[in-house]
Amino acid sequence: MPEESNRALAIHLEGVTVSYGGVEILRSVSLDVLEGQLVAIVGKSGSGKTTLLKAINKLLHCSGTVDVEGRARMVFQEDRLLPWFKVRSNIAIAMSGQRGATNGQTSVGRERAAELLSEFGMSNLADRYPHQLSGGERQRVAIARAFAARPDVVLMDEPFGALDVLTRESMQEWLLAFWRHHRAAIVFVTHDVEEGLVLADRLAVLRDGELLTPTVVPFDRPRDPALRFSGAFLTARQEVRSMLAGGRDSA
Amino acid sequence: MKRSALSWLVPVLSLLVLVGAWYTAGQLGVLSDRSDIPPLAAVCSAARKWFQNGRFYEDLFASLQRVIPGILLGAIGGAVVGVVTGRARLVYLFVGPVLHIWRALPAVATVPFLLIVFGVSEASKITIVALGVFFPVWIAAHEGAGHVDPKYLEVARDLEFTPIQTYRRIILPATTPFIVAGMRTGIAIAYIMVFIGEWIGASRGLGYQLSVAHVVSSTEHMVVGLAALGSLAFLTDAIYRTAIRALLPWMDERNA
Repeated sequence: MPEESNRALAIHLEGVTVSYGGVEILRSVSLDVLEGQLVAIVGKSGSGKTTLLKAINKLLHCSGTVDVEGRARMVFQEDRLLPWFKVRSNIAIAMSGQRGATNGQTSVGRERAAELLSEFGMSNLADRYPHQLSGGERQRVAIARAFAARPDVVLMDEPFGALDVLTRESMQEWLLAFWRHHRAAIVFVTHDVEEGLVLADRLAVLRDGELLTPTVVPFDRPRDPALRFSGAFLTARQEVRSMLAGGRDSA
Repeated sequence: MKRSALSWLVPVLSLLVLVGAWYTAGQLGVLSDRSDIPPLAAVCSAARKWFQNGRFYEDLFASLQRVIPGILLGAIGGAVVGVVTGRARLVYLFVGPVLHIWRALPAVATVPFLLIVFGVSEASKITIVALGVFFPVWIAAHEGAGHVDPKYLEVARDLEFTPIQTYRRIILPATTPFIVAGMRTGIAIAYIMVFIGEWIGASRGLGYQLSVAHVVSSTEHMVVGLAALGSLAFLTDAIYRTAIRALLPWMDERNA
């Protein structure tokens, strides 16, 4: 990876505000994410995490500046696989934004789906429907779909939130291994402080619609799974938890 | 016993009980010549004659020639119009009142009018069936297309689908379960409509045979005709359900 100073901005947010019915969900959020960087946004339920991702992906109206370099894709909280398509087509349809691709069955889409499924060790699932997969498998397919069109930015909205602890931890390791070879900039939203610290280069706390200044996560990569039990990790976790609890509703 | 075996054994048993009770009542003389319900033996004899003289197949074929194109036309029309009215509010506001008024009419009440307007032709009888199928499919497709889960539409925007891709990949598949349910109702109505159409204006068909049996007050012929019409409707529904399970396997299990 190039030095940080040489890396271009993948996402630039300045003064982003989102209101619903007179209530401000996001208040003047500013954030820069460099290309190939993984930034975790940690916040409690209702703090505006999903709204922030949707604002970046232009899925909702907001005021302020939202600049995203290149193509952005989203991994939703629920996998949102299309139940009427098999796994292969669920990935292949993500190539629709490509020139010449008219439907999920184009050779470009099929080839890309086969490539990703093979890389994920999931080629045997290509002809299954989403309802025939486990929760972890479904999320992997959703992540494959997000990465299919080789996006520059991937926005992940608590993608492992519905999984049990063990599956969740193995998915985190798997995501890091995968991301090592597919360096998109990732904004990873989570309510789990540990998850944010394990995954991210930088971590920012979102509190009542306000984004606190991101801090650098001080752990080298690749990260050892045993990192979670180190003193430095526990100290960092406590610091983030304190920032989370500092909000007006933290009594 | 396995559930799959039970699921066909019990219905077969219920039919056997019905037929057995009917046969026994005939043998015991409960269903005498003066009874309005003909004995099973008389019905079987009438059925045998109908089969042997070849008229049954002609009547069956005639009815199917009206029912199948009618179902296809009505279903396609209902699905297309339903998806459009479900997604385009202005179109719905324009055509909705007329369609709702027509839909509120008892389907059979419109048959004499349609036969006069379109004439006593094959085309008119197909039109009658198609109109009977159109409305349940239309209302189902309208509701389905109007209530596509916004989560999937958000996926379409995230993946930068064009409007045509959004229709093909999201709106139409999401509406399909509604259309399938509407078509099942439509198939049942199709047989009511073909019966009425043939009763009033045809010289062949299962409905026509029932009208003849009615004119000559032959209850055994009526029972044969009703059994044939009922069996055909049942068979069509069974074939339809099997085809749907084979063609759209995701539908059965989507909430599993």
